[in-house]
Amino acid sequence: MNLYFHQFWRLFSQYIKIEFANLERLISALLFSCTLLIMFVFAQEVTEPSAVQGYYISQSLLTAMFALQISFARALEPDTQDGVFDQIRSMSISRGAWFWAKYGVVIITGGMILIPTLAIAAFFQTDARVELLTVDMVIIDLIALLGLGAVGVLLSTMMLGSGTRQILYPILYFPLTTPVLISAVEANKMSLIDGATLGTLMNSWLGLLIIFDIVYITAGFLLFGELVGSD
Amino acid sequence: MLHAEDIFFSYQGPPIISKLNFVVKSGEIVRVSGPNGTGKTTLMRLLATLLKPQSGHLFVESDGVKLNVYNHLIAYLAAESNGLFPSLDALGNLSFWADMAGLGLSDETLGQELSAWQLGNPLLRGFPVGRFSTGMKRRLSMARVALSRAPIWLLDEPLFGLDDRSIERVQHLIREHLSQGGIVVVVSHDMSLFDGLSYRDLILESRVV
Repeated sequence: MNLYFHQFWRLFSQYIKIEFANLERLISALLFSCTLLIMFVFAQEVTEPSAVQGYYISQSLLTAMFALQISFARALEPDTQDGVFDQIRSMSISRGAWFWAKYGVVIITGGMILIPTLAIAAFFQTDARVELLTVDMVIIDLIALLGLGAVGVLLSTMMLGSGTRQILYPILYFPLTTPVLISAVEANKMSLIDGATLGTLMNSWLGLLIIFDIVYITAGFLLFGELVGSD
Repeated sequence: MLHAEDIFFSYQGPPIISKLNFVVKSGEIVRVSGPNGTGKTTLMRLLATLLKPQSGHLFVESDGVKLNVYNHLIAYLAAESNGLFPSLDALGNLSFWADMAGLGLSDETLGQELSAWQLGNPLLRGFPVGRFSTGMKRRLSMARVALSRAPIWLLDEPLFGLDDRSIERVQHLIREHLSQGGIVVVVSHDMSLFDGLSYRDLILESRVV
């Protein structure tokens, strides 16, 4: 096993252990999702099935975006405790392996927030009389998560040295994730309401979503090394 | 040999370190000393490559080869932190750092090292290090350094919080490391570390503000 992959795997497994040792980080984001979705349900009037589908897409994605932002903002929290971040930086550890490990954990924990959020949102739409949580929708939203996660890792790394990260993080996160969200919402609408297949969507909104993912993942990978380098 | 040539560093203000030159040879221990605020910890962070000097060069010369990137040769112990994941236990922390250093040590070897630092009690299995005392965290951090096999040790206040028995162990490890041709650069206000050790002082003068 080469050194790069060994370092990636060791960092990844360590971060996963830490996530499971601190489940409150995950639970707090899920509780936030539930609360927001319940509020939406109370505010929503009973409407036509097609309108319910639209509500479902907007409510679930909006909720997921906020919940993921809470989770992503804490992405580098385990590293900042007790000088772990400096310890890693002082060692001969590949910055690329470090980025992929961090990104991998963010995607897994993000998925553990996103999928339950979609399921809970569908559960609350009891009057829908149509299928809401489809496999295609989950795939589209997981593709969106790839881009959102890359922005999350990038921003939380950028904000490490900033004393105003609580303010700066959301200010930067929301504008940067808007293209991903618009593409995801449009792709979901075409899939759920118009019945478009993933193959068809590749030539429209889903294709655009994947392009944004590639841009953000590449930017995250290239900038991470610079951001965690010597001060 | 660890070389520092004309090092200059400032935090966007008056210089912290200016025109600093020194060489530390194999088998040598250097004590960085000086009043508070003269840049001892900054110098350690520069040597640990966590900071970049604005001018000058830091490098390691090994077998006639000049290495500008030498992270694989150093083990760094910071002054105010231990580099430990608070939610994991001692073994989880030590095995992680040993793996990251490319050592691939068995749990048995790691357990022996923990026992040598009085951290091998089975009751400590699964006990998060975030609940350890200051001295226990420092011992675990020193265990990481001891296991690292790095030839250059950069120790910033290594005795902070340690009891007499642990101080003796640190002294013993430093002697052993030096006898094997290792290099130690240390910041310590506790002079008991240097009992019976032949060391060289690198005195950082007060800076003009």
